[in-house]
Amino acid sequence: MLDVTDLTFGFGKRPLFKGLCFSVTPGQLIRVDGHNGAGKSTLISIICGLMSGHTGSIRFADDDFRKWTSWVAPDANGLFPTLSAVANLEFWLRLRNQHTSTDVLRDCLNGWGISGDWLQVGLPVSKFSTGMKRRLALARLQLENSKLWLIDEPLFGLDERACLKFKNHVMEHLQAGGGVVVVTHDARLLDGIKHQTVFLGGA
Amino acid sequence: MALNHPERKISWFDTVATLLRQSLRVDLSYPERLITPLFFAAIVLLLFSFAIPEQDPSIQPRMVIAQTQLAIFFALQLTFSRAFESERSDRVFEHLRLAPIDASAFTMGKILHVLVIGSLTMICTSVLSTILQGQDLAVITDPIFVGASILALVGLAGLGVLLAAITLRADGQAILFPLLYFPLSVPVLLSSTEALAAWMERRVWTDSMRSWSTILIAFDAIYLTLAVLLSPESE
Repeated sequence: MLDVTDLTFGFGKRPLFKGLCFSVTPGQLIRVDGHNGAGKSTLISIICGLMSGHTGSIRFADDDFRKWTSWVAPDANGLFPTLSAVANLEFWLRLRNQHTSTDVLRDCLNGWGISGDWLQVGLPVSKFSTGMKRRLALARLQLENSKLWLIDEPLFGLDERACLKFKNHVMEHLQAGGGVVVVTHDARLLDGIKHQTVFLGGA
Repeated sequence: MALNHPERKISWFDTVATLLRQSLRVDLSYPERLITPLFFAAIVLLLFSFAIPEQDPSIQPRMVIAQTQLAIFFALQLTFSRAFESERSDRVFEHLRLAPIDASAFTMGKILHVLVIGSLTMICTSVLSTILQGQDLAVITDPIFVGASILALVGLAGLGVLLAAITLRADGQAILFPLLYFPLSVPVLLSSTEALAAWMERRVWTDSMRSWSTILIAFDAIYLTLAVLLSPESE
């Protein structure tokens, strides 16, 4: 799904990481680990093509990786603040040629604990708490059902129940042949999930 | 849960329609975004009418056109300054770059969005300007008048979205945008005002009107092409 070879990146003369190599195959989870400032989020952004200036190669299994890749980051839920939860989901799914009925969207959101008053028509997501916004972003990740997840601190702001739910989704995704590259400091996500670790900080 | 996506890319036209619908949805969820340009245009027209109370009747048609065009021009500044506002929040723009869509469709969606808002502003300002100048309202429903006004809007929208996209990540966007927008919009403003004034004065298709319309169409084509070609890419 993804091959990263000899990847080197730095700000100025200081390299953040050097000669990084790893692959993601179907059903595999790669954990990117390292201390604060080691370049974990930067690595995800580089893989996504949101940052440039690196050397080495990043190869995806298909020409347009955007068709089967989803991205989540702590400060990037990708939500239009003045629109409702359903309106946000409808938009992003439509851009991926997914026509999902409102009932299915509401069911999914209910599963993430976004129900009742939160689903009022016209209630903007700007009224949501940090954790609720994150739940909405993860509901989108679930509905997009992409093969490869590039996720940066997915448990940010989530309570215990939502963490467990997301972990179950990760396990289902891996069993279905999906791949995951995850940056997380939260050991709860990876408990009992077979994974490989790429450690940053040695450059 | 099967991970099977035979074709997840939507057509270019569907992408444009989806992005346009979303932009209008955002506007409707925040009506201040729609009302402010209209209010601003009305204020500009009122100021003009107080500043120039009595005019020679022979130049009145030209005054109506000039005032209307300037009011729309200034009002659109507000629209452009917010053109990418919703995409800047919560890193929506980055998510759009990672969605399987063409960058040119994104730009075209924005241009059409500005055209819709600009048309609303144009209708209101044209009506108000005509009333304030004591002109016949039938003039602004004339197909030639409407066509030339839309051509002017297309040029301003193409240029405005192009510059808003170019300065999207610039630190001094608030300063940079007007510095580029004002001088580059002169050919569009000048040609549209001259073409419309020529039509209003004589109501016949003159050489002067043909020349100015050609210049207007040429600049529309240049700005639209540049906006689409220089769309913000994913890398």
